[in-house]
Amino acid sequence: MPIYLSTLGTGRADLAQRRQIAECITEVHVDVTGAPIQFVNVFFSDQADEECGFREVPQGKAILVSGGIRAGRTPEQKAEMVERITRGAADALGCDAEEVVVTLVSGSASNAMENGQILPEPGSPEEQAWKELSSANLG
Amino acid sequence: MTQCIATIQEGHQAEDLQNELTAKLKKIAADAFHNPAGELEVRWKVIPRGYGWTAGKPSNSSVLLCVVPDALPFDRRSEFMHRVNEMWIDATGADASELLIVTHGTRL
Repeated sequence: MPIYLSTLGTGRADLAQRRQIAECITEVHVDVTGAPIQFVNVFFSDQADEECGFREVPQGKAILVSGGIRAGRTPEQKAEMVERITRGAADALGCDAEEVVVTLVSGSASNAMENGQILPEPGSPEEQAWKELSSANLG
Repeated sequence: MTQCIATIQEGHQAEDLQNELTAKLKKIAADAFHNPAGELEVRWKVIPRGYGWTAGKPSNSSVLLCVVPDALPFDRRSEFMHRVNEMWIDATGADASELLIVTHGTRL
């Protein structure tokens, strides 16, 4: 976690554009939250698949990015992530920022497991140890 | 009815093991939630190459989104995730860092 699920219209973005958006989202998430980079997932779909979390792109929009993040981020952090991801996606797609929709949904960290460990809550003492271990595992 | 959405990358070991993994997920859910194994619905979503990224690089990560009973205590939720994690790693040979398990509740 986090996991960002992005829906695009078919043929709306090529591989280079998807890579650019993925790199932008990853950089912004790590920069704003300090989360370990290796757990930032960005998946794309050319079609909506609501059951799997890929939501329908609203009429007149180019991309919908739906981010599932750990609860506990501040409103300021979330606003900065939305603003910077919106700008990055618009740059990658060559469209106006108004054509980009970014939403963030927060979930309790203890409801998730990654790398065989229950995820720590942001800001908790357990998170610091988790970050250090994750950093060490990166080599 | 409980449900698990298994999102995997095209070419991942799990792609060829969907039937086996489905059966094992059903068994774990049946044991954990005391439901008949057939009640767990497993939906597979394969992300095509070039559509999945982890840490800004092509992804080999899998995500299991599992619906669990609303009132499930944390220790049982944790045990469920540990069992799924161990099963998945054992069956697929994937690295533990390549698996994210997310649970959320619903009334059964």
